Amino acid sequence: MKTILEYQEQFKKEEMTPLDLLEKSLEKIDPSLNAYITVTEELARKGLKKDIQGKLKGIPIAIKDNINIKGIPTTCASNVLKGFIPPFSATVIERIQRSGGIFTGKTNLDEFGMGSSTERSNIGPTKNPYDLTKVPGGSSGGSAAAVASGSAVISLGSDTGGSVRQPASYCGLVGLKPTYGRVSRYGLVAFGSSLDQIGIIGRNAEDVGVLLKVIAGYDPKDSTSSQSKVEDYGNLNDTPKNLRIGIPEEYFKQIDEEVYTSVMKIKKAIEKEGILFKSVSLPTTGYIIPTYQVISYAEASSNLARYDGVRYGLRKDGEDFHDTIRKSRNEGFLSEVKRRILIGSFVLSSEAIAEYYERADLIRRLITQEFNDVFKEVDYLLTPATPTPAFPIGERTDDPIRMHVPDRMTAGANLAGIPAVAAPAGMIGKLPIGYQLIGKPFDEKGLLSIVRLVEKIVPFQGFIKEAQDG
Amino acid sequence: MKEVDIKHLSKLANIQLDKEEEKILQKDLDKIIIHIRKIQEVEVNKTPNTTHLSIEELPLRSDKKEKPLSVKEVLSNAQNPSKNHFTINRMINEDDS
Repeated sequence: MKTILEYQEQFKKEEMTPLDLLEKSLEKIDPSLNAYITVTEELARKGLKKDIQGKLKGIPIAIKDNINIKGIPTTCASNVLKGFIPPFSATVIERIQRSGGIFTGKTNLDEFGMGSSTERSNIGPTKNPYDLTKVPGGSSGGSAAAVASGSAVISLGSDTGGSVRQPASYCGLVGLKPTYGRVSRYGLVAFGSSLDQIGIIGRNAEDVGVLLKVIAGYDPKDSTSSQSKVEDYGNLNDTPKNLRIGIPEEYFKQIDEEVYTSVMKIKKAIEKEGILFKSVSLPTTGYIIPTYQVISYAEASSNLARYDGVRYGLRKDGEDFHDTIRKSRNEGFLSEVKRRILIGSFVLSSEAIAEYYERADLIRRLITQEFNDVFKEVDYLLTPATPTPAFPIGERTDDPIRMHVPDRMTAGANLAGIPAVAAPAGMIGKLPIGYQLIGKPFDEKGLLSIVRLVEKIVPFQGFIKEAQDG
Repeated sequence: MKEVDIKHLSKLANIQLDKEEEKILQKDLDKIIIHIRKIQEVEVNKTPNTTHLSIEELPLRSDKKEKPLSVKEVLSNAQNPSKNHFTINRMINEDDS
């Protein structure tokens, strides 16, 4: 398994050309996985011809289909955006292009990022490359499946409640959700604007760091974008020292025993390196999912009001203007998105706002405060990334509450706006499982350094064979 | 018991649901509302609001005119645009005027 830097070395020594790597990657696009909505072979070949010298020169990257690439359809896996071709690119896309990166395609997702399995897509489910009967996780399941199966070296996803970390965990990969504001959201289709963050799914911590360095940094086009210094996230040679990691007891309840054992193995391995562990408590953990649901649904109902068929997207003509909008939206959205818009409309309605939205907003503050307090005692938190390994396709599609279960581990970091990373903890049978590290704002480098340490002392054995030589 | 009035909500959300889907979603919505009601157990009287997530002061961008998208680009995804406009159904009937 080569890293981005190793590929760059090979290009320099002319042991391999970027075109060879692209051809190999394109060969590995497996239609039975359904990881891609649009394959952008032509765009990738054109990108190579420009021969841009940069940190990502010739690296094939897959992009979740809710991030705009100018001139390539953005569908968000929704009929409402069928045929929509964005006239502008996201800031992250421009930055990758300026660094010489190329795009293999736009990857499948749960419609507008709303789901944990990549089943609720207008093109049907993506399958987990480790076991085709299981989900790859979601909502960035296409981006995870693309990297795990070797058709892209690394990918971009978006994480509103765990949508980068959970699929990374199910597919044996490293998935980073940066601090809110670290990466510009300009050109990312909005779901829950106060929670959304573009994230990275890669095969190792160094690759994730190399790409983060390219896409991070202030962007005047995103008013929540941070001016804090961009670090050399890909340089992870310094071993973390004098660290304290917290084990929040609430995150280890109601999880598979094998998940517990796997995460504890990681803990023991890190402990041997001289890092101290401490039990901590985050008592509001049990309220994370309902709080996340209220806030994200409310923001979704507001953000998705723009799909009215007037300026772009699907239009179904009705008797009058309003009838046209209502019919277009009914035809355009799948049921989960409708459910969330309807609940969002409820929690924001005058009769319910105080008891639901405003209350959730206050609980969000409590959750954030708890993280702040615990980070006075420890530097990081170690948790499972998901309570179980990947579940069977079809198992939860009719159960809107059960589908949210994996979010219990991940959505807290979105509510608090802090960075978190999921990385491989081992295999349960033939399925990978991940651990999660949560950190202080803007400590992405610290998080990736610990993942790098774990990679050295407990190398992940689960990589799919074909992906290794890609 | 119904927790929410789906007809009212679909009006608020601007979605005209089919009868069959309305029945299914009514059940789902009732279940979800019961589930999220859990947040009412939490004591929040002394908690301040979440007004923003940023830990730093965020700058405003400079007030300079930038090159906007062209009219052609803006209309490129619209259905049946007229020369320089989006088009929608007639909003005022002749009887109203």
